[in-house]
Amino acid sequence: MGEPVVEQEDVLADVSDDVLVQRAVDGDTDAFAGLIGRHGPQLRALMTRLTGSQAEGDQLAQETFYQAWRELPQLEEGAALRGWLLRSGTRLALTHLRSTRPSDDGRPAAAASGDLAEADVPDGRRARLAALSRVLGALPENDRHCWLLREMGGLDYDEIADQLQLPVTDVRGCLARARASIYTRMEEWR
Amino acid sequence: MRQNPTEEELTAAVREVPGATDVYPPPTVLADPPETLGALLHRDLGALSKVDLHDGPDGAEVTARIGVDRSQGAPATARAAAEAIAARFDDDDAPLRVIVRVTRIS
Amino acid sequence: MTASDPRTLTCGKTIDELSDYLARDRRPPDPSIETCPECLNALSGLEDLSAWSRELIEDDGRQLGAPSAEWLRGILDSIALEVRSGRDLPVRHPDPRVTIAITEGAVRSLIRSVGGTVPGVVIAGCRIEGDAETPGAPVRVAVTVSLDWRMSAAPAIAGLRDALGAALAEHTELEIVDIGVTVVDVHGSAPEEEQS
Repeated sequence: MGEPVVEQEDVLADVSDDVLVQRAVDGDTDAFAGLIGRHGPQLRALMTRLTGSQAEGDQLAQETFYQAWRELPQLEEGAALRGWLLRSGTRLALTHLRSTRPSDDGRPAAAASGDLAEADVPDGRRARLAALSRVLGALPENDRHCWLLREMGGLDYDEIADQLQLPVTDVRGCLARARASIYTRMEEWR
Repeated sequence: MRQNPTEEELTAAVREVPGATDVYPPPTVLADPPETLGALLHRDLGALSKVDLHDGPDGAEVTARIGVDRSQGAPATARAAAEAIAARFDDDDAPLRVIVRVTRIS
Repeated sequence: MTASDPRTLTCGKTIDELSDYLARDRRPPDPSIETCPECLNALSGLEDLSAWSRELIEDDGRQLGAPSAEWLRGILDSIALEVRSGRDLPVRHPDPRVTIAITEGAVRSLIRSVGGTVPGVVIAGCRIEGDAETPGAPVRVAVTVSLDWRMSAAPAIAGLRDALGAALAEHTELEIVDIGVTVVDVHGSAPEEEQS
């Protein structure tokens, strides 16, 4: 008796983030799983690019979601969730990088494109993305982090300054340098 | 000398009640969750999922947090669980408190 | 761009300025930029970079693939313990040594799952209003729902109210005087996605 006509998870796939967040705040783990499905890919991608490792990226994404569950009641609206996840994940990733690797702001990190490296497929679009990935990897770490946080994380300058513990003017400088570098090196693809 | 049942015996008795699906850790376990997921998953959740028996100067107090299904009404299942716990204590005169909370209806 | 500093164009504008200009959606329009061929070329280049960034994010998502079941399980297992119990809703028992309660959290998850049995209805939030911890005290249940836009609201709401009434009568001893249902959202595929 009382068996669902449609699987609950299927129905949850159609509803807004607001509804899922509200259910998750009330304790619904299926709704939270739905939110993970929607926002997980972007979070994992950013974490992987920041650390250069899919294993570390996935672990950081897990930690971020665990924290999110506990802090969800403080979120003001469902629409704010993705931004919260990206900022929170970034904070965890940068803390992790500082504690596991010595700071090397000036030198480009060796395998920074790491696990999200080039594909061998000669398709034009894939080749262009691969080139972008390589160019990103060659940037100095701070410049790359600024670019990732701005373009992939959607953070604003103040948030980036806060996360990287830099003055906002330095963030502008890093972003400008990163954009100029990428722009000149990607010239042939335009 | 009267011997109280063990927490394991009480937990087993509750699990056998028709309609009871799970026993959950007592709230003290949950009160201070670890900061990281990694630390949390290292705890032995199976061992923590049991009925709690506290034997004090005022007698024995048993607390159970249970999950039930919808094969019958949740109040009926909860009553049966409380009775299954009380039945494991031989001495009717010894002070006893039994607290059953249904924390999940699936 | 100048040879000495790739961030500055020969006209004097910097990539930084142009990025900010783009970020402001080119408003208010700056004639010194809008009439400068070098600036316009650079703006177009920066727009390309933004487009490629978005492609890279999507591509990353595809390359990473779906996370392992274990990854998801790790998160869900960790949060399962953090039960949001709420108040204790009493259940009577003749034996004075015995105290029985259904938690508010259990009742809310029951309400959500009953909502799932009513076609087109998804429960968003629910509140149990009144002194629910006192046996026999009048209690009101207030539920907010998302409704499939293709359903007519009145029968769906009535169906939900009936289903909730029955489930709460069976699984709680609450004295429910009213079940309020408010539609706060709609869901379902957009009309143009419908198969004809």
